[in-house]
Amino acid sequence: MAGKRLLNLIRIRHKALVWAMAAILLLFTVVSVSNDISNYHQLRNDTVSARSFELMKENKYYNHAYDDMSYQDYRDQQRYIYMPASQNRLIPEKNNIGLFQSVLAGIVAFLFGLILASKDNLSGFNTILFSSGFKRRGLFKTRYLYGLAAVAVTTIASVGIHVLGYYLFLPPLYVGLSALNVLGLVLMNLELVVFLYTAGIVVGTFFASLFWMILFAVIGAWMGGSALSRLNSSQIWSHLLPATPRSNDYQFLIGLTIVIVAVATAYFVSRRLFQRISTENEHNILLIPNLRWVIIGYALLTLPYSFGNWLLYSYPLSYGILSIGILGFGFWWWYRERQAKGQVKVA
Amino acid sequence: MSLTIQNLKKVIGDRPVLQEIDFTLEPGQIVGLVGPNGIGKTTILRTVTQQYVADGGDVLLAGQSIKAQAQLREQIFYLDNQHLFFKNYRLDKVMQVFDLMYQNFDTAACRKLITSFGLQPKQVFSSLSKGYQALVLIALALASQAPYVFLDEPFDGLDILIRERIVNLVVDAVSDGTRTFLIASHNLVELDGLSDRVLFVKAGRISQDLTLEAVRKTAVKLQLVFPSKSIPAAVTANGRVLSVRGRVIEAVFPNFTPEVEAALAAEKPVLNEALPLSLADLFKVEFRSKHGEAV
Repeated sequence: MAGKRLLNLIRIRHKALVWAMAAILLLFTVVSVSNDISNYHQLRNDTVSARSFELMKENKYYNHAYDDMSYQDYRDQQRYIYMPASQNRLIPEKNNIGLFQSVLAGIVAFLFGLILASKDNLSGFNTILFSSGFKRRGLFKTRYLYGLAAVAVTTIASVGIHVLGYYLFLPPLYVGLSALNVLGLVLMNLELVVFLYTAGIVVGTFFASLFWMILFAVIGAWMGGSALSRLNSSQIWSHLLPATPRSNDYQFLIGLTIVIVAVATAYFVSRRLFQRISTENEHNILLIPNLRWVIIGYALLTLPYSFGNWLLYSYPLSYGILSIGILGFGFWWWYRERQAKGQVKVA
Repeated sequence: MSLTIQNLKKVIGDRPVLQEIDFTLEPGQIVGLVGPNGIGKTTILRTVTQQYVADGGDVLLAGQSIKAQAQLREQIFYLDNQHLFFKNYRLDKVMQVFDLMYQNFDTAACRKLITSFGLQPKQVFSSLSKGYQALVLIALALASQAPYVFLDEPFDGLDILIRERIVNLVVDAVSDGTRTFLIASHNLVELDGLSDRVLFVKAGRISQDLTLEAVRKTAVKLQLVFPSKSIPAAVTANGRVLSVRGRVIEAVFPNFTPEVEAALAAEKPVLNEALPLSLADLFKVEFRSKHGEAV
């Protein structure tokens, strides 16, 4: 009963936001499908006949990429335009139905989570609900799941529109799609939007002002992105998993597992911490000031690694200087808040 | 069903703002929570209602902890003026939201009250004047049917007509003996005629828990003129001088026993006249660190 009332309360407050998010994501999808269709037709138009292929090879001004290729090889290379090669896989090798909205969908999901949480945080809704008959845990859970359902349904609808677009306008590609390919597409998109939605919820829940939310989100995303990109291009994986075959599916499933674990951990830890928020900290940067050490830990983990041996090509020197700088910043932040609290005026 | 605040503690920064706050509210009372600005009245309300996480102590409703049993918090209504999340809502939506927040919320009664103020449910809360906003908050508090209502400075910045209306609504609500209002205020004039009981907050504690009627039986405010220019020791030792105008001294004697009366008579005052003792006088006695000076 209380759960239903709480859900209605959350729905009343956020339904406009949900509609806005859904409209933006679906609009992106339509634009993306239209692009796919037009690109597809362009590719088909650019596919040359056997005669033209031979003429192209004879033309000395043409690039020589096709010099050692027969027309049959060429057709095989172009096969993905007509039919995905890997129907028995989640992620086709030629990933021409990949992340249809890629970065934009992720940004929308992140902003949606951030606004969902921060609207309740900054408007005083959370504070008033802390005094009400609802449990804090219930409040966090209901809001998170409500947003998650909205994001998931919208994403699945987007994939549906994508597949429908293929069905209606790209029949050769559509018949090449298998249920497994579609499942892969759904999971791949859900993986991204759910991860970023959860990140938005965490940032919007624990930062005390919009300014700090956005500042830390941008810096945090840059630090995390740089570290991940470096990690991805490093040899670490071949050292860790030397004898493992590395198909697209395998990599995808590893990534999916990591994301599921990360999202579940973030949810349960945040729900627990939400119960410890005391609203006298609403004038600080964080509603739980000690979380600053988590941010400092994250910076220590990502920033020196991203920068590498930037100082005199020496890893110890580069890592040492950056680590000292980050720790110094952490202690300055702690000291500054401690001093400000010492002079706090009590209502 | 009494509300007991037990050893409540709150530290903000390194400063212990609340130290062992203890008091009990019984049904059918209007209780004033009084203290100078910045002493921690709002902190008490916010900590009791779980907006601030307490560093110690408990809040018990009919013997059960409201920290452990969240549903009991519905029995306390507290709206902090800094956290009115519904400022941009229309009044009918505000009522809809509170109907979901409080299981026993009486929407019809709330609508009736709001209409009786001359307001329309389609009006947006933030478009109302401060006085009407205060009236809407009172209407929400009454319609919640919560037995304990906390109001924080409810008369601040309101004109006399709105204040009178709020006072009448509060008195009406308490009259059936099921409701209790805890009013944090430094507007002592308003509280004087309204509160049955006053809690003084001082140094993070409830320094005095007074029933005004009881105090008036033991405490006396006197206007005195003595033959000598100096203030006699009998006055400074037994009472607190509020003001000195020429030779006219106004002083409060919190414990006006026959011995004190005799000591004053021994100084042969030229004028010894009893004045009505107000809550403001008691406030000055409690919070002024020294005797009043000549004006």
